[in-house]
Amino acid sequence: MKKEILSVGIDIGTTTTSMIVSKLGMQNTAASHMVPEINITKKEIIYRSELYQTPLKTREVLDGEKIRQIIEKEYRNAGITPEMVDTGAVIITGESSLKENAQIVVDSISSLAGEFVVATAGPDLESILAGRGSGAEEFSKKYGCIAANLDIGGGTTNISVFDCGALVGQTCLDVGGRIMKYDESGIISYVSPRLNDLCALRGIRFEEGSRISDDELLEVGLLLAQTIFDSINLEHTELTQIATTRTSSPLNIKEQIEYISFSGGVSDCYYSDENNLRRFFDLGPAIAKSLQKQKIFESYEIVEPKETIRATVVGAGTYMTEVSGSTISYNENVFPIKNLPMYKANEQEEMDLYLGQSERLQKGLRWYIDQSQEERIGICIKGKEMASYKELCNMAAALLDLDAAVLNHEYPLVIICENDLAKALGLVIGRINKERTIICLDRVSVRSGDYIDIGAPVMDGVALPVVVKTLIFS
Amino acid sequence: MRLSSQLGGKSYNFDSVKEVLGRANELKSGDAMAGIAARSDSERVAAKDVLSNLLISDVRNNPVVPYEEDEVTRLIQDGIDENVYNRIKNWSIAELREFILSENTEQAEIDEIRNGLTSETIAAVAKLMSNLDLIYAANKIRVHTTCNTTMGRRGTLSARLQPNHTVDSIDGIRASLFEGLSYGVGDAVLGLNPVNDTIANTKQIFELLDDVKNKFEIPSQICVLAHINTQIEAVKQGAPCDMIFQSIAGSEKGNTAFGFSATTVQEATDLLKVKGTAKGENLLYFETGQGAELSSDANFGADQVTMEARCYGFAKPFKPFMVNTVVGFIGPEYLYDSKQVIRAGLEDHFMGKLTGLPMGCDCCYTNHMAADQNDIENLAVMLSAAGCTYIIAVPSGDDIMLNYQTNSYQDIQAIRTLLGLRPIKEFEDWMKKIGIIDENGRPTYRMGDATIFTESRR
Amino acid sequence: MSILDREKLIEVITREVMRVLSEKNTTPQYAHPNSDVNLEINARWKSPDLTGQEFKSSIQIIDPENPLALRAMEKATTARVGIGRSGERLNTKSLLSLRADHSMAKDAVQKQIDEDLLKELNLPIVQSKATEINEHLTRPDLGRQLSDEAVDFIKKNCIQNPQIQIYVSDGLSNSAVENNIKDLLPILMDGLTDAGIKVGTPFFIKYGRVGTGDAVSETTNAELVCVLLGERPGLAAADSMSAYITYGAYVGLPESKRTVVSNIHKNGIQPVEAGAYLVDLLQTILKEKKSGVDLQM
Repeated sequence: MKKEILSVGIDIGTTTTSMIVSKLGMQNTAASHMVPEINITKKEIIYRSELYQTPLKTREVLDGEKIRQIIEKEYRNAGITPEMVDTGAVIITGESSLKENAQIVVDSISSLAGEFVVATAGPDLESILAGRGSGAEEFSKKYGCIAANLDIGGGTTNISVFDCGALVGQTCLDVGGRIMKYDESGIISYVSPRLNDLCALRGIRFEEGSRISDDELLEVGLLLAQTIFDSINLEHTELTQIATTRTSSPLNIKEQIEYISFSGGVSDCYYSDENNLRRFFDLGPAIAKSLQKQKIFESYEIVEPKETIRATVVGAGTYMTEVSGSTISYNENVFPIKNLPMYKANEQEEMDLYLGQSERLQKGLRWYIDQSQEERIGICIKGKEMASYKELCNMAAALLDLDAAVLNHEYPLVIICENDLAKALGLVIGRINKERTIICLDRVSVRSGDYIDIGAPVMDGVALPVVVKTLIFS
Repeated sequence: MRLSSQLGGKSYNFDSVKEVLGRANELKSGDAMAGIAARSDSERVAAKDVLSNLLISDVRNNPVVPYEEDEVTRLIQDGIDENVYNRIKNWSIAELREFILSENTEQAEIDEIRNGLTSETIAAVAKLMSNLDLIYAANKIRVHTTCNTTMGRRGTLSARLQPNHTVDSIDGIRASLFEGLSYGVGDAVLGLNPVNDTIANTKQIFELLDDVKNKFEIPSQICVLAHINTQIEAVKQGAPCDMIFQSIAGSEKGNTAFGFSATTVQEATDLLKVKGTAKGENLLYFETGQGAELSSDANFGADQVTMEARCYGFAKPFKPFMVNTVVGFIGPEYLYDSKQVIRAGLEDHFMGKLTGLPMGCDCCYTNHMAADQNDIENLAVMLSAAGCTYIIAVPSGDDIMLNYQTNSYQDIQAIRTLLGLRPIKEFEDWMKKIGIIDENGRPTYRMGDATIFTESRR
Repeated sequence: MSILDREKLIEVITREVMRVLSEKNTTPQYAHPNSDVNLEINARWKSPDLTGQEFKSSIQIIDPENPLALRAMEKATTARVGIGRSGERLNTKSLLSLRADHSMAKDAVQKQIDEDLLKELNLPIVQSKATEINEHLTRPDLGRQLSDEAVDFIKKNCIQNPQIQIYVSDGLSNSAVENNIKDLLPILMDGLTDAGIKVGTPFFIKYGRVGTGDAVSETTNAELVCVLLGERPGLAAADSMSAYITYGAYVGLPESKRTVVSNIHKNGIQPVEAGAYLVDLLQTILKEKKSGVDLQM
């Protein structure tokens, strides 16, 4: 019985690129007289690559060939081959050219694909992964507290907040160590437009080619530290309005954060008390110094996370994969399924299904397909906690109506329920239509616009690995 | 040997000592189901009369399961000190009762005759005792045993902390543990009933309990109540273990149904002497309960009180650290209502103590019995007055894994206060150290705050 | 009480009072002279269900040393932790919550089966040898046997020699039957029938035990018997149902030969999902020709 899956995580950040390999162990956690419940119970990192400078062709465009070489080399170092890899994720960070870069990564590592992963990202997802990878999630669970992780990298600050182990909020700021670069003599070679927008609030502006002084470095550092502080302090000031990444939204949580950990490249400057402001010819040490010096963070207790600079890659390698089982249903082994776009039925659309009506969902789905031009699409429903058999039969019939009217029959019918209902739904759908290839999974939560990978069956076929992701070239 | 009696102008005749023992019992639904209970109240009293006139030798010579067929009978009979026995063999059971109740009889006198009593004799005398007799007589006897700490001293009431969880979640078990410790529960043992009886799971829970015990320097002992074979394997694989547990029955057939024998128990003891983590000489924990033998068709036509007494006879040579009856767990087919459960609890405690065991009680009930929380609170107070060694407690009395109710953590503290009883000395000192009681043993505001054991980052 | 304790107490009380005052809508609303308004207030002022999670939610410790750890503990277990105390006794809320759950459990044991529901599901009623509820509770030996009438009825009216015989029984909770069977039984029957299995005629056994299935097996000559039985109610759920599955059952069969699927109820595994799971499990057991410990899953 396959009880372990091998997962690879790759983080291609603005500044650095790294990879980890981990083993995810699965177990039936239910009592022997109950319906089995398969969960990932062990996460063991078995290999960590060194940190590479992210290879770039231009300032913003990745060098696909060099990335391929890095990954190939690291596969060799880790002693793994593409065939051995069951699941994983590549996270790509960057302020711009995200789509182009993602395509480059997909193209360049496709030869390494095997059962492998495709590029994923999105600022919110990245925040969550960094929070999990850093250990903030575990920390909040262990100490029963509200903990935030601030992953301050080259281009962004990814923030996630956990309450007793549960994610309660996340956001992303375009604030990072590399939003300004300068040379040994202090001549500025790059400044991000977003930084100048922020500086404008203080009446400052930096031009490429001009020289930056230590005082100015510290002033910018302070400004960025204040921005980060405002964001977690839920003070949505002009600073945070400007800095919040366009595809993210300001932090919205109910309870006060108590503990803060820093991860990402800048965190190493923070925890190591880096004194040389110009060590990396960027803003990293200045931001770290400002975070340290400023009394603004005194209302929080600062803790050091388990992972600092590798938080995101650890998150990508160990937290992207879930398992769905044991009460699921599939009638053909068509796995792996890659990058399946998902549509989440809204409450009204789902309620109609229980009455046997699919028109509303058809309409929603058609609109979505028109917009996205997707050829294939999976459907996600919440699923009642206590569905009657009648409701289930109605829903099955309605879903098949919808399948006939809207969906492409070259692909399997994939339905995902958040609640534990998939086996029953799969059975009833199969009673109505024996021919159709059906996959029903549960205990996985997806939103419209998400994509999923479904891996080959594990644990004697009673469970399937699932990766939910947000693709950037959608 | 007279096996007949007159009552209300009617003559009652019995065929055997075994039949008399059965008919003389206070009413129990299990005996009724087995067809051996008295068919009327008058028959019951007639049987008690017959029993009262039987000699200790009559009862010894008529074991309810034949010597040749049964390991338990052999252990009991072979354990008799013939010198002691010869001194008392011609006492009637009535005389034995009156000897025990006499104001001239204290523990020392009881200790002197103990080794002349077979389990059947002990059961017989219990059947002639009223409830208050059972409380009064048992209170004369204290049994001291030592695992890591010494339990059973006069003036103490100990408690087993039972932190069960529906899926053996380590975090969940820890939460219930902390809750119990914050109420001063757990001086008898920190003992969990696992859901999954696997070696790996048992080992993991042993490690958790050991970790908590060591981290907070708790002067107590730990136990995981898996099957004895599972525990033995876990210990062999390095699980930290103070004490090995097994449920026992009053016949070899019953023990076979539980999947072990005297040899297994000996193996466990020998193993713990080498690989165990406790320093004392009492390294076993047994649980019993009236009706267990009948439920596995291993009662040989004997009543459930007599079979229960034989459990204690089996336990005695192994010198357990603790023994308790899980009195109301088995259900209404054996003990119908609170009256029967309370009676059984008092009988079991008395018989265990008379056997010389460190007897405690799980004062419990299931939801299909005619009993409720009030009844087992009654029983717990009565038993504590009887000098019961320990009782069992779970969060608010609701065991989420075994699906039954027993005493709450709060009950332990209330009864201690009420009857002027204290935990084991070292444990009491520990309670003072962590600040849940003051120098006079009274609760402080910290009592009941489980978070005093959590790792606060403040 | 020492001065320190008193100060502590005052501090605790003050904090608690401030907390209560700061919460909205906690000011009691007294009866309005206008009775209509009264009604409206009463409707809005719905008291929480004593057996509901909202009421059960257990944290009652005032001023714990580490308040957040308490929430983590509460999430880690359904045991009633963090419930505080009144002196050395339970708080009133804890006491009522326990008694409420116990009352549900007791009522579930005593409850009579809803015969209309059985009619609706086409389940004829037969009875074990137990004749009334107390006999059922105290004489499991009678509950394990079929009454003569039951044997006659089954032989006359039910499919003989089925591959799988499914039946429903009260066991120790008719609440379990009422709350689960309507959704559990049909999906199970449909699923097995679709798979081409010869399924026996389902029926209901009043005052049944797990072991009654052995007698059913002998009466119908079924290859496999599956009883859907009301479990002994616990405080967590009074309506939990289990499926006991036995291959080649006979009277006197060891309990270890049974496969059990328990915890079927709204807050465990919901009945339709359990039904779908059983469809697969029963077919596996039929194929393997063994159940219980012999079945390596």
